[in-house]
Amino acid sequence: MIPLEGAIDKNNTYILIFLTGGDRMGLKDSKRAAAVVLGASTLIGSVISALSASPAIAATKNVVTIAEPAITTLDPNGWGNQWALDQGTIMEGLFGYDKNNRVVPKIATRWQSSDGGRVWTVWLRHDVKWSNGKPLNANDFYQSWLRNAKWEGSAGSLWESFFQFVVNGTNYGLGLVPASQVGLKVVNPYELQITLAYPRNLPGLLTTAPAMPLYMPVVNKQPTKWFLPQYFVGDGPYVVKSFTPNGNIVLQKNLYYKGTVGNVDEIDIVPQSTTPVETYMSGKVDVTLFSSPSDYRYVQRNGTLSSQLTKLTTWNFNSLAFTRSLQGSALDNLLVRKAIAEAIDRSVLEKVMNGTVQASGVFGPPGYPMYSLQKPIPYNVADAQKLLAKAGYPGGKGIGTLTMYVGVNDVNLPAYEAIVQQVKQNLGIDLQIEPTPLSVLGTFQWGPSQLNVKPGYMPSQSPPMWWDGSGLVDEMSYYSAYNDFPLWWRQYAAARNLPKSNPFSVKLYGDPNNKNLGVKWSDWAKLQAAFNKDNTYLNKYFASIKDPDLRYLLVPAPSYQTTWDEYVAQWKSAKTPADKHAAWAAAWNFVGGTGAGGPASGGTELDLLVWQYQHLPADKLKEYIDWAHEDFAYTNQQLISATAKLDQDVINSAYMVPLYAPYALYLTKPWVHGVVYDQWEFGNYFYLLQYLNVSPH
Amino acid sequence: MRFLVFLAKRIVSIIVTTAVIIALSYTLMYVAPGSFYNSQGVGAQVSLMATQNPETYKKIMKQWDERYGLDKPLYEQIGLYIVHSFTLNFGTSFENPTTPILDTLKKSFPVSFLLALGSTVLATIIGIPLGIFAALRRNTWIDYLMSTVSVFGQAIPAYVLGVFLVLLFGVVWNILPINGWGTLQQMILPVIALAAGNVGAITRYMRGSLIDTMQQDFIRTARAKGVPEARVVMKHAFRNSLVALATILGPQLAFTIVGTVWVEQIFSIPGMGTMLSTAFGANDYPLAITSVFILSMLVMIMNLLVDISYRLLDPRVKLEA
Repeated sequence: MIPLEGAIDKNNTYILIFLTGGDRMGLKDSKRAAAVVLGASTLIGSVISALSASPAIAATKNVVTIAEPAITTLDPNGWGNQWALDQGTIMEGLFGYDKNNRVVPKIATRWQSSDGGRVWTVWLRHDVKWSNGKPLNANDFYQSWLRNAKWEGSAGSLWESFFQFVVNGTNYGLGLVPASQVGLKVVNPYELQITLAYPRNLPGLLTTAPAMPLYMPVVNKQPTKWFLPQYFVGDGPYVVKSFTPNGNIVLQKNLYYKGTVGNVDEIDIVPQSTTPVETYMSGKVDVTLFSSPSDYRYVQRNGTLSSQLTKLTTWNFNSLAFTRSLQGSALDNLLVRKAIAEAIDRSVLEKVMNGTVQASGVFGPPGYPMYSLQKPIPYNVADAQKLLAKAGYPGGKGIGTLTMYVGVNDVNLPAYEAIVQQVKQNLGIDLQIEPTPLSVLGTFQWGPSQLNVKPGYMPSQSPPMWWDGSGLVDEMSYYSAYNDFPLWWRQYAAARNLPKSNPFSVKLYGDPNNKNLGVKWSDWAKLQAAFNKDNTYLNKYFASIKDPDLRYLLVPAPSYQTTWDEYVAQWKSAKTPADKHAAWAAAWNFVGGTGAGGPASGGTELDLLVWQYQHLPADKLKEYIDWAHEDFAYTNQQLISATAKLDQDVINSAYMVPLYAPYALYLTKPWVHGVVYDQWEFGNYFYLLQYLNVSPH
Repeated sequence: MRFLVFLAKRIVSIIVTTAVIIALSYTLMYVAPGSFYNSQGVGAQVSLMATQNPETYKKIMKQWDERYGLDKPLYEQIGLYIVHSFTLNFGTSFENPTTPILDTLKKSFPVSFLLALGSTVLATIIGIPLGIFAALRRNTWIDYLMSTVSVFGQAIPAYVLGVFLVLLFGVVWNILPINGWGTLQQMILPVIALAAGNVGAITRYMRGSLIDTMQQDFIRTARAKGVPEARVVMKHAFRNSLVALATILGPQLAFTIVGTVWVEQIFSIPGMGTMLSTAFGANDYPLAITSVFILSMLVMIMNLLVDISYRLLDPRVKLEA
């Protein structure tokens, strides 16, 4: 017989398969070998059968298993997939979303704004309890927000929080002011007053994970482990029963929760697989997202699966964006950019993406609140060719090869390839795809201007900012701020920002890296004169601004004078030459430029700001105003109107070309209802699991 | 005593080599374009703050740099990462600044290690007998069959085999779980997917080694003394052949851990895969250096264990530094 023995313990927990009795092996002929293989197969087969024959657990409660992207932590003070659960499932804030993704009050009963959207008063419900039965009140929000603003002495994650808009919120995070100076006030246990540095649509901001309340007695005792099941206390509809980083998470109903919640007793979160459809078909998950066009094709052809498919329009919009290259090219000509935008047949992109995207000639798909307020880019080859000829490049001659940066493994590659083909076919322009690592592409997209970036396009995704869910502020503001500046502007700014220290300022004020400079007061003379001149000009410029929102955007708080005085005071109180030099160098950077690289728009040093405001082109000024109106609007109607205008500005400049919105594709078992996909987030996941319901099955 | 000197020297060598690997990896990440903030699109979120309140924005960035030591000269940053790695003070990732990496690692490393170990053990259990058969039936159809199977095993990537197993056992037959980790059933498919490549390698090494050993003088002597053939193979030839096999098993285990990334993602296993796959793409320095440290230490410790096992397998081997 074969020399293999196996053993399975009674709990099916361990399996031992080992080779024994080598001495017994005759190995005389090939039949034995065949017997070994056959025997081994039989044994493995029986082991698998035995293991899989474990009795099914009787379903006594409603359980739904959902595949979500891997979740490393549940702490809302981080930038990850935990937001899927933090926003409204295991935590509940003053505001949240209904099942249609509209902002609704949750713990808030009513609210009102005053001072033009700067001061917000929110009244809380009296019946809200933590999962340990203790009452929740305004002080819980106050303490949690302060904690999130300054965790471990770092305000580094403030950028993802509404707290950056609260008066002194950032300064508190930086340790510059005490909590008493933050624009937060607990008026009484059920009334909170929040003062913002400028108008903002607060309810939308308060839906986000960092705005959720934490049970501070436990958080203080277990600062990094408070969310583990043995410690967790929450106020959301569900509580954490088991948690494995990047693994399974089990949620169970919070018995103290008073609000809308479905009939699901337990939600099992499992990490999304790279074979989501197969996992769904095996019955191991009840709800799963998928994105691959080939999976979509398969699902469409499978009758059962296609009946369980949801195809939801998302607002996570895909565009092409100019690379902000510092090299001159035909793309610096508006007519060429417009020609390219008009030469793309977006319906072809839908086809090559197998119907997983919804094309649009404006920023946002049909149904997007600003959709009908923008004028779409037409697909008009004849007009595009005319524009090109008018620009001096008939048939694309003389343009040379432009570059299309595409992220490695980008699922949108077929669409980019189709664009390359159409631009070549329709206009005779060569676009060359350059696969680029995502970390590098991220720098092109979000970082300062790069010397080595070639003229061309890169993909851009511009979802609406989730925190302004009610307001739909989108990322056009970023592009307006940083992206579409003319070549002469980009080159002027880059010459001052790309070197380690602005070489022009080094000539004027001395080298900030020279440790001997800035030690004597006389070293300040040139800087002081420059500051006075810049400050006078800038204040005069600000005084000339009539639009209140533009003033919010451009006028700094604290004033330039206050900042300057701080540097001088630091120098005067410095005890060592090194500290004196450091204070001087900081003032040098304030006036002369950090040299740390800057966006295409330039830097924030006063010398450059003066130049920028002296040279701001009229269309950019208009964009700045539209951007300011969008950022400081505090009602939905204001936001929709301002955002549409800004979107139109970007369409008109043609530095960005709208393409399509990908659909969210997901499969749901027929007995599972109330699945909500997060349309706002960068994260591609389900949230608001409180709305889940199951029917008998 | 000689062994202790050997061990001490090897440990020093492991520490130095790992430090050099950390230094090189960090330098490469440091000089490469891109940053965590840029790869995450943070610029869009802070565009307002950077425009409206640039000095405060600079202070935030400075505080962030100070927290992660990014304000220090490169050599100091490297030094800090080396010291912190060896003291297991990995800190927190950029992405989740409130969650210590060590906490995550404590959960994820054992999973990946067990997965890799399980697949290496399975591959050894299957590969050794196959290699022996092939060697003893050299140039027969059995040998050709085994060699072909070995090549297939090595040629099919684990992530392709993984998908195939998912389809077969999860969808078509639906007899085994295809996601998660924690039960024996859940381990079966990922372990098999990862083991296939190792089976091929071990079979080929075993075959080649045994063929070499069977041609040695001491085998001829044993046969001349009338020792039964099975005893010649198993007692004399097999043990001597294991030295060559041991050479690959250690590194194989270490590299299999690296290879778990794809398999973990197919089977939704909470191992180190997520960490490894996201750290470098997002320029998350603390997470990336932790990965580098763990993997390089693993490879070198495995090599050390292999060298020590030589001594156990073959008394003639002297361990000298």
